[in-house]
Amino acid sequence: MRERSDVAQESRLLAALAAGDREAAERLVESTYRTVFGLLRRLCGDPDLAADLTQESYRKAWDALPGFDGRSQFSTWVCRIAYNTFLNHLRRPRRLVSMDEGFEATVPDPAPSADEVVGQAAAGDRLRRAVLALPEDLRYTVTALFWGDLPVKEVARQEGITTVAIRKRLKKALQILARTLEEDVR
Amino acid sequence: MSRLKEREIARRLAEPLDAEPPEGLLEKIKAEIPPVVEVGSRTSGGEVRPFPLPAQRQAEPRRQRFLIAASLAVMVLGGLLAWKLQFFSLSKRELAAEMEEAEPPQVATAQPRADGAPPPPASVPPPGRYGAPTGAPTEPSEPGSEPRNELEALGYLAKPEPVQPTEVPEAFGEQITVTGESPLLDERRISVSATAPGVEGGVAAGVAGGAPGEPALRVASPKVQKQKAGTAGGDAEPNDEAYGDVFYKSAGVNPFVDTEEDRLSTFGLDVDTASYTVVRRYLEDGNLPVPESVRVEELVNFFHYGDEPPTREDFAIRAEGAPTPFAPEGYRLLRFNIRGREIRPEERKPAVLIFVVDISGSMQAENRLGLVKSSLGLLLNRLKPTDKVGLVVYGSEARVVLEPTHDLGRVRAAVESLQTDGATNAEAGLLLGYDLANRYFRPEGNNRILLCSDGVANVGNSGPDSILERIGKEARKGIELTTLGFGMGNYNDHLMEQLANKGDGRYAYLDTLEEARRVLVEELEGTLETIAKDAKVQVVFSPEVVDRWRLLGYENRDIADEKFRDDTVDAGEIGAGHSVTALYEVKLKPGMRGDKPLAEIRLRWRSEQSGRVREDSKLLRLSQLSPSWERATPALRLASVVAELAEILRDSYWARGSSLDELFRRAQVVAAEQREPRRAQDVAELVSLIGKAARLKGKGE
Repeated sequence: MRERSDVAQESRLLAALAAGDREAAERLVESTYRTVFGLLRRLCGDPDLAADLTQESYRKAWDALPGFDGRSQFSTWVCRIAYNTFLNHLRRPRRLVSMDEGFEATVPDPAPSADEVVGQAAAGDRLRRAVLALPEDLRYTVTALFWGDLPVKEVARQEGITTVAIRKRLKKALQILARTLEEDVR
Repeated sequence: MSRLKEREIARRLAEPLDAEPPEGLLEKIKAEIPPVVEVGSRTSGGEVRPFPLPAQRQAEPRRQRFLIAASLAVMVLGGLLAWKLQFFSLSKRELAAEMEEAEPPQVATAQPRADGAPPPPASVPPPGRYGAPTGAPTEPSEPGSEPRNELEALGYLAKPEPVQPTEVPEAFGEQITVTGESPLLDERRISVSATAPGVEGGVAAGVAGGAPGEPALRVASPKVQKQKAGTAGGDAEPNDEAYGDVFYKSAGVNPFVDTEEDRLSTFGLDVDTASYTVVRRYLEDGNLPVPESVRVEELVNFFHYGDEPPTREDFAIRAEGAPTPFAPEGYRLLRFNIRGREIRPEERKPAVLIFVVDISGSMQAENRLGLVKSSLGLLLNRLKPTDKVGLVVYGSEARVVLEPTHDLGRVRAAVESLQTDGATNAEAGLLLGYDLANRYFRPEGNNRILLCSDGVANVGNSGPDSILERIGKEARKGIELTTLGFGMGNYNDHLMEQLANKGDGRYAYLDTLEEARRVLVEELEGTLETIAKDAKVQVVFSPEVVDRWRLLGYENRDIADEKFRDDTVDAGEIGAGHSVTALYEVKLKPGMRGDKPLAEIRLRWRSEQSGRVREDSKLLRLSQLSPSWERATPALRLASVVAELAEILRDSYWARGSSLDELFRRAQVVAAEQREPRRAQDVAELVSLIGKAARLKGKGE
């Protein structure tokens, strides 16, 4: 399912787009949207919402593209936008649901609800919640590496830190996840 | 913690997802590609602000440093590094597989030292930082935004959570234990007040018992007071009455609070200035304003006090204090100013503005529609070619006059041609405005509805709930609502304020074209561009120094103390360059001298620039207070005069002994010391308004 365009292909498309070739944008979408959708689908756990957020991410991407500095690949960059879009979505308080309790629901809660059935889906959801409850730097690292399909090198470049540091983050994150999920079982 | 478990998690994280993107998604995304897509270049990035990628911002120097160190290391440790690099290009599945191998952890930790590079700060979390994942924050704050201040270090700053008795330092331990749960709270509060030195306390208790009809006065526990004020704010509907009947609504007057009982004061910021212009309109028309129309903070915030805006941060905080002639001996007025970052006109994001104009019959009175036209004309003069403007009107029905367009000349002609027509279906107008705004939404732009109305809504009122709910929903989607009020007589101040509050926008009352110029021309960037959302303030008083305190105004912006760090609470939105002032009257404990901290102000907000929650604070010490009114700063002197006027006009209990004649004399002195021309003009007007109020009050008595 991975359709990562190689770096040369991406810069060709970006150059074409800069020259006014709108179709180049379509090619960029085609080569990246599955990854973006997959990332958001994992983050939010809801395919419909993921589709909406995917659309929103690209809307933001077109608007923000004038400021794209080419430091990372387009695919990496658009994944970061998708990630931010998801976080923004989380932050929107949803008062319509409930004036009081609704807030709690908007913040991912690592602890499973009492009546949650221990099954395949529930386990997946627990993992998702546990990832969301990680500190920001670890959370992005895990998300980008595993769910955004990004290479370590790309994430390191984007975060402006070394690949070694990314690996350390990953190790730390896995430790926390293991502990969180273990506590859940108890 | 087993390594087995970690590997298992890596495997599960790497599991391929079975879900395919839904059909049609690709087409939908493609359909939304704009006709012309601009692309930034590798070398640019100075002019156009890149999409906020927080981690990238400080990356450059760090990366360079690393590159230098890394190239050295490559020479020395070529072989070892080559082995490493092999790992760097692994895919996620290989990553998962890699985790399965027994990985020697010491290699990774030794690496930064081996290649000589100083470890980048972000890469080396301090031990134990992530030790307790269960309560890990899911809302990222800016690194270092955790408050680190002297008061907290001294140990007597309360966290927003309830204080554990064991954590309370000895000095204040006994006093702090009085909380909302105490059944004695109300009695205790009154009895404390009654025995307090000075007249207020005793009289306060007496009046509370004897005059239940007095709406402005509540002698209750701070907690009860806060809940009441909160209900009148933006969180819930104020009451069941139709909005058409409620023109002004008082949120009460804050009481004095004993510091030993409650030393936290928490509220949402408010940049509205409408109340001042409403009051001005009353006085200019030869009437005393209705007390409920006077909101102290809106009068105070109408004035600028010469506080400098920050150059880099979102906000600059200033704190000062002095005695005033309006309060008894031993009291001080504290002034906290929060000044927002300014943005230059060319930095303003492209805007999609939808004018929603009330053309109902009531807008014909006093040439309200005429003032709307001239005001919007002033605004159009200041817009840029990148901005788009659409026009919706409503009378008996709502209709789109003009779809959003860059052609501002057409907008101008359309605005000019408006005629009044029939009843007022404000709801239909707003809904139509939101439809347009949604269709022309620019995710990175400034999407805003400007409602121009006298607030009289008599048709299509399916209850304010539905429209307020919709406004809140749209605000969360990024379409904000600014309300511009016109007219008097049957003007609905409360509705206009509620709408803007819910819509995350500013509420201004335009009584004159001059006021339109101020709001729509001079302060255009602030009116259109928000720099901070959900801005909250918490002031912490030291029980050792401050005996009692009272917040002047912000009654309908109250926030529960423990919600200060709850970032889902809807608080104030601050526009670029806005200045917000909060005033407190405090009574110091006797014999207070030296350099002890007196109060600390904390500000928490979500930065529009980075999307992150930030916190900043400022400490005020006894030594920073001016010794006398005469030696106080002009800013504080002006603020105290404005606040006193508001207190008198709203018949505040705490200003019952004050006279407008004396205030007039003081205001003249303050006016004479204003140097900045614009402020001098504003204060001259203030003096004349106080004079008018004094004459009207004299006649009435």
